[in-house]
Amino acid sequence: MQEPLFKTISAEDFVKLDLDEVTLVDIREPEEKAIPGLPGSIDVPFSQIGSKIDLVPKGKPVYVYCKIGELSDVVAEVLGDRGYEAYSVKGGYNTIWYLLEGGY
Amino acid sequence: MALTNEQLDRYARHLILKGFGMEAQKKLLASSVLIIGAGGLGSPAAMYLAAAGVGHIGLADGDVVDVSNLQRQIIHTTADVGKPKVLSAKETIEALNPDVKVTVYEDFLGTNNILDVVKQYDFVVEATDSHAAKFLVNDACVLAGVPCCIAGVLRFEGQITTVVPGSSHCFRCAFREPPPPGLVPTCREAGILGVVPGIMGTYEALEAIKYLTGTGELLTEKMLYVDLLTNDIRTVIIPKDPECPVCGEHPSITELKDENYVQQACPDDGDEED
Repeated sequence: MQEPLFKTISAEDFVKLDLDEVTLVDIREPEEKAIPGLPGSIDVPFSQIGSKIDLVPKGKPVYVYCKIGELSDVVAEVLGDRGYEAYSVKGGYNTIWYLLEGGY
Repeated sequence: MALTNEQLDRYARHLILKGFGMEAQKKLLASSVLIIGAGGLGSPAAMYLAAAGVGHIGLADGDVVDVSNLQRQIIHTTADVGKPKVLSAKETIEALNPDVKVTVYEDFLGTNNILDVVKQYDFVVEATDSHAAKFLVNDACVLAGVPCCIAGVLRFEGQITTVVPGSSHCFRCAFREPPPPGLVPTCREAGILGVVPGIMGTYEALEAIKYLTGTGELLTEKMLYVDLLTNDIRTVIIPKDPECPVCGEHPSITELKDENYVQQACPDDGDEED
């Protein structure tokens, strides 16, 4: 069995991390960003993945989030395939924001 | 090897497809498919396989593009009339997707050379309009151990099956030998609605992609019959026949001999066009 190219993390565990020690990648499309993403996030909307993915710096673990936590699996897999230590945040930004802000 | 930035964009809809994804895309890029016949079936098969990113496509056809082909052979254009079909098809594929390497065989494959060519590919799409050629491709693929998809079309109808040597039935398990000359009319004699090979050739591309990526179920030990005039679509079970002369337990066909493939669907010119 091949080692998976990326790992997943629940939004609950994700919000407990020291976010200064990781790279954050927001893959939501502009029209999905009524609520701004986490400060310091690198914007790689999936529709522009080819032209934006090289903006993700190597070195620190990379945490990818989308709106609901499905497409982030795909991008985390792509990053993992390129040698990044990549995580997909399950539940997506909807859940992250709920946890951080305490509700909608 | 990781997908390039351009490939991430090009294959984005495959990458997000659950049950397919990056792993399947990489398998396609590393795969090779031989398409025998660059006509009505071969056109859509080649175009969809190229668009999907099959890394190496072989095309075999000895014919040139005729204006009467263009009603269904959509890989060729009006400007290609008179040009060898494999060269016209190669140009279309290369314009469609630079990821695809194309090898052309500007000749009809025969008993003398088909085995050597088939062995170089992971999967074969049989896209000829000749009954004899379908048996030749079947036998060559069984002997070489290379899986293939075989389809046929006439008027408003099509049929298709997939052969995985060693595990499935083969074409001869269903039909022992080509029909006698004159019994079954050809597309040339009976006509063909252009979209019919379009659908069946596309189905052949689907079978190739499913085999190459290990996705879903194949038309092995099955023949799909499609009547596109009435929308009557049925699947007939075709068990592997232990008495089959090529894939059975005591095969009588262990090498390719011309006398086993005498019937020609289009005896006038030996077209490999549907």
